[in-house]
Amino acid sequence: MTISVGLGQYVCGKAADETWVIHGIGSCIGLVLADSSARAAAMAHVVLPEVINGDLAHPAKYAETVVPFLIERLMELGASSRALGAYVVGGAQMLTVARLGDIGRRNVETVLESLKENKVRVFEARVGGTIGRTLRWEAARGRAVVSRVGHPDEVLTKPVHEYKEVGEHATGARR
Amino acid sequence: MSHKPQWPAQVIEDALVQAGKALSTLAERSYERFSVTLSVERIENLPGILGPGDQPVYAAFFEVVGALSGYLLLVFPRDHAELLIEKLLDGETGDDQLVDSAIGEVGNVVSSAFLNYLADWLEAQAAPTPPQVVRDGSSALLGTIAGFLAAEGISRAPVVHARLAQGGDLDVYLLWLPGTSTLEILGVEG
Repeated sequence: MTISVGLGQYVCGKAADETWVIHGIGSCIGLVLADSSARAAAMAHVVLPEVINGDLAHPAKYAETVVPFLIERLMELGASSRALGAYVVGGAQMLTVARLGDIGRRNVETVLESLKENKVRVFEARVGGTIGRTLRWEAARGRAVVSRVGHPDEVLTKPVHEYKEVGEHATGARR
Repeated sequence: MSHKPQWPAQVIEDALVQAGKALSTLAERSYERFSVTLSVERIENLPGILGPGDQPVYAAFFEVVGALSGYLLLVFPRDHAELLIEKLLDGETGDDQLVDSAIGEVGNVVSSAFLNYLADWLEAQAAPTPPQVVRDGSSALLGTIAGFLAAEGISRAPVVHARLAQGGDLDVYLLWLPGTSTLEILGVEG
């Protein structure tokens, strides 16, 4: 089953036979946090660097709130905060509106800073530039794959970080 | 989820007729038939408005300033864009800068026809920025625009979504997201 993660949404779960996908990431960030030993992961579609209009109801939407929020969800699934690693994709500047600045770059900077503050390693990042990207998380294998229009897929996850056993204790995605 | 706002539909349709005529003159094909949807969309729905997934497209994007503020986008499915560009450039499609320039020029001509009609009818100024040409996926493009709206604190956006048709192929999409000042002039509730 494929689960599409829309703007500001998140999913989390354990090694279920699912693929989570964020199609067409431009200035947004596709963020995956995973603990391969617990075979638990979370994915968020981050839209903006900072919370606006006091919107505390959508922590996955903002770069400054998403990381601690996902860590909490993963701890509930039995993950260890010390074992977590991150995949960060997106933050491009495909279009420019001068008065709004470079939202993509600010998204990247804020997510990376928050990962550092929360002591989460960055396994791989594909950020910046002027191109759109699609991020898939193969939840059963613990594998992140990034693709671009007109280019072959790129597997981001190193074999050492893929899940060792597949399918045991599977828990489908929760939003 | 969308609902029908109180759009001045006839004015917008007349502006689209002008856009279709301008495109027809450039492409030497008739683009004077069109379908149009006037709606208010949650910004979460914008990336999928041209279809599911990340469809390869060529697009010319304009930020419009002045009283008729907003964003205007002319989007060509990639295969259709390549056919149109081949025609416009007499087959000289190997130069990326030239291709981008041609897409931008098509965008200029069509968007000007659309905006000028509205500006004249509404007696309001519309000043589009130079075109920004993108060759990428539709979701990434529209997701970026959704990000602009989100940064402005907008959660639901009025959208004019028109498809200029040319007998089954070479379709072109015109998306107009009028800004706050434009909505006030049009009398549309966001």
